[in-house]
Amino acid sequence: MLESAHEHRPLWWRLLPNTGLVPYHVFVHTSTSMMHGVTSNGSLLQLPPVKPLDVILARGLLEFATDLVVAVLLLAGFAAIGIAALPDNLWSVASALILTALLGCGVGFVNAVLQTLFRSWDKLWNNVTRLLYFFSGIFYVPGMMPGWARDTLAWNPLLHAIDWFRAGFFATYQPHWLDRRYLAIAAMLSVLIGLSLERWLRPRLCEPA
Amino acid sequence: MITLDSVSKSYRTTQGGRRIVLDEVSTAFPEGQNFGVLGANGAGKSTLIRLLAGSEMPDRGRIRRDGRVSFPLGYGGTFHGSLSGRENIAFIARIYGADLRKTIGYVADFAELGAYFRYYGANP
Repeated sequence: MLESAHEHRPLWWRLLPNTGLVPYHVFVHTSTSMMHGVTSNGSLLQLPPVKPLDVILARGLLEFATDLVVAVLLLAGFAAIGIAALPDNLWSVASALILTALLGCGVGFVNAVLQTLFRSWDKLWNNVTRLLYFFSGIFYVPGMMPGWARDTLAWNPLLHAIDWFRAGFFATYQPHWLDRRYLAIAAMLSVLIGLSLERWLRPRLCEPA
Repeated sequence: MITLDSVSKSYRTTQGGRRIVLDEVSTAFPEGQNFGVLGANGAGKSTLIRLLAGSEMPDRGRIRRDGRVSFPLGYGGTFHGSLSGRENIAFIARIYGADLRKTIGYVADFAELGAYFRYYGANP
């Protein structure tokens, strides 16, 4: 996979971490920020018109919007120092990011509920995101891995998010292990589970801390 | 008028049991009357107020409110420390769907804070 992009190598090596970090940050920032949506908004939730759903979702949207602005600024920075950094397929990049945000928001809802039930959940989740940092193919391409390792890592939906984003960025990079449908299903499942948990435990989320 | 229709509410205690605050309570608070709620510590006075306001949900039963019911006042903390008085009022007016200009003008008038209404405080 890398060989086919040899002519782009200098560009590759500068953009590789960036193309991995953008989706990684969209996922981690949304899911982590939403985690504290209920527990750190006790006073806001005193207002009856404000529901747990509002405060959790607002955090996710804010993080996604912030990360989009950061991504555009980063690419503009690359362009400013003379590295052509425009994605080859904007539609593919956009759909990858939207599904990544959806996955992040679904997991964020689950996190927000778990954080309300178990006050130490954030300590555990922070370690999960640290592991994902290494297991999502940010600083390497899964193609460099032995087959068994890649097949194991491919269970991680975030790896598909990052490779989808990358495939949209570089037309020459079309990994055969990339399963766009897997990411879409994981994203929708996470939203379904997250919203169901929120609805089921809503009385508990409304209780004062 | 606020009507309670067989409302139950209980809490999980730190000891692992459940504390029942309301058990199948049906009652009504008619308009134009003042009510006082008396009870021992932990009897559930605050919970009742929060249930009436809609800040909290009952385990079972229904609570019906006709007209607009305020959020529980006097608990403090509802206002955000990094917003000015005016911004806090604007926020609450917005989520209650009240007229922004009218509400801000009304509060600015009776609060008589003058320039401090737009002040952010010493420790943002």
